[in-house]
Amino acid sequence: MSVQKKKQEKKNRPDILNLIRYGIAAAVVVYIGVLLALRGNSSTPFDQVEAAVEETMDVSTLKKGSSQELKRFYGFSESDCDSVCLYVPEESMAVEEMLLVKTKNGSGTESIREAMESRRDTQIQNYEGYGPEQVKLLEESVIKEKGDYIIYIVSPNAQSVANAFTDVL
Amino acid sequence: MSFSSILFIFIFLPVMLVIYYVAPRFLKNGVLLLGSLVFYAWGDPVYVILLLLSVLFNYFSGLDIARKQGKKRARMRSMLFAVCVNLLILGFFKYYGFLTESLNRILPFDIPVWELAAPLGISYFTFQALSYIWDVYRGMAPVQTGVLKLGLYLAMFPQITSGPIVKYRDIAPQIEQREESLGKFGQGIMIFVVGLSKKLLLANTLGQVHTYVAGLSPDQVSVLTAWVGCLAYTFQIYFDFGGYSDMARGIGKMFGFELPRNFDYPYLSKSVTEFWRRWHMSLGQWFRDYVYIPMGGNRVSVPRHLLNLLTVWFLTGLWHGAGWNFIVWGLYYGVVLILEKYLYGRFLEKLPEGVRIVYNMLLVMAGWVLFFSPDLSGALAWLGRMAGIGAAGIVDSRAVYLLKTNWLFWAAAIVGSTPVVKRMYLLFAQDGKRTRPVAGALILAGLFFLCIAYLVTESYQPFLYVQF
Repeated sequence: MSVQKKKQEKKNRPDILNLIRYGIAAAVVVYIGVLLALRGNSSTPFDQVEAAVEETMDVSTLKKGSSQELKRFYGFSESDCDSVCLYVPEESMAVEEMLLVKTKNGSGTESIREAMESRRDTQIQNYEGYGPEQVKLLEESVIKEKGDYIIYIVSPNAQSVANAFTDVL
Repeated sequence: MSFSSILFIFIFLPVMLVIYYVAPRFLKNGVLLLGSLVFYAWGDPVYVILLLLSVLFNYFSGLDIARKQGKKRARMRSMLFAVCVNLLILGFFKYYGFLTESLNRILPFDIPVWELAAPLGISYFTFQALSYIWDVYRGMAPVQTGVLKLGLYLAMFPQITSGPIVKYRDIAPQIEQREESLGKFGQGIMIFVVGLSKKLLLANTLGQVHTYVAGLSPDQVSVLTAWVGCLAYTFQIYFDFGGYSDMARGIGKMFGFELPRNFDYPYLSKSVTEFWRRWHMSLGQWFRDYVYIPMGGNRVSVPRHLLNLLTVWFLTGLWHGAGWNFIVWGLYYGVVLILEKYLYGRFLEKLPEGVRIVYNMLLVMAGWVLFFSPDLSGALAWLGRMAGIGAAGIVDSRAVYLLKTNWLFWAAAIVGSTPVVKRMYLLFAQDGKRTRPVAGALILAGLFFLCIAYLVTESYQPFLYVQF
């Protein structure tokens, strides 16, 4: 076979290495598409989510938490998030609580989730031994996230509140 | 999973170390890689897929670039394709939302905003991937033919979440061959405990001061309170990030790796130019080697040099966050560096050392206000209050209270920002050329005990630089 023919054949052979690279790049695009479909951020305004959650949760025994309480209980401030709604109990022995957070662009909910788990664990420690009802409520608390929203609910109907949260988004 | 967590310190790290040291030499890299993937997946398992895709893509890209030796154009095309894909991945996860929201403010129509949470450490492992691609392209490092070894370079758990950003050519020999030793292991523990102390005892405490001041309404903030809040953040970010970097270095040493230092007492700098040679050194070196020098560095005309500097600092600001305040922060430093280089640098050198340190600290603190503020207007308002504009008086009882009640932490932070602590430790732990291992161990054990006491009692405080 002539040298030129051999060169032409080599040129026409599929470049496996580059095919693999393009394939992986395409896989990244598909992966991002799947993630967007499953976890993409919701366009539901925060007010609407807040209203839906407040409607389902009994907030009559709760009061709106201050920015100092947010920092004290969860270790972060309002300015770290896009939007925040915190309800804390009015009575000192109650543990019903609700924290709804919309995170800032691209910042993720992981750190907020960890803060919520830490708050729950601290409360359980606080009431362990003398507040069995409170501990039970805390153990049955719900942390739910969807897109850039995350909610922590300590309530007798925590699951219903979580469902309302998911449905509105 | 945070380095400063009970789970990491008492479960993950000891288990990893045992498995690593029990494993035969030929399996050690694999063990470390597997452990790193478990560590990464702990935060959000779904993003491990992205990390693995990145490893595979860069692995095959490196092979492609290497096999095109002698074909200049084909090599460059291959390299550019690899760089573009890496930057597009980083750009989408980190900047797409910011870019589209910024454009939507000025365009007559709305571009849809699709957003996903940024994967943990994406800025770090993408920059390391780019380092690999460039080093192979320029022939500064041989191509990595082992996909597991490249995976280890990109995913290694001591540094994937917050650096240091290690250049491939610097770490490649250690991935191939490294020695673990009792001495290195001991040094690793020491550096880790020091880093943990910086994070838990200093950063977290002073961070609470800053968070408290940041939460006050403007009519509650006096000039002194604004300065106290800014100073608290100045120390928080140094001990938080410096502490993390120490922990990363310490863990690296335990596994036989020598990771580079990221900080060299930056608050003792006598100019902003010097500050950036001592602060987040791995990032500065990355931008110098992969952006500044390829653009021509300072071996070009003055206008081009100015452009090079502003480009690097624009990118540095952007790397830190998808927000206009970060971009302004980066450009702020670009302008100051230009002024020091071309306007008053020589005059600055003639001033007493103390004055120069104060000069640097003032500029750095002003920079931190831009950095921690949620937006530009917030930053300007804070800076204004520090200068007495819009502040609720000069001194108030709140500021005095914050200073008095945390006096020990302020003192420790000031001293800890200098080499004094290290010298004092060496005085106790060494007697001339002989070491006093018991004294050294007791000091470290005491620090470690304090850290654990803090861990079990304090509320959650994430690492600041993880968000990048």
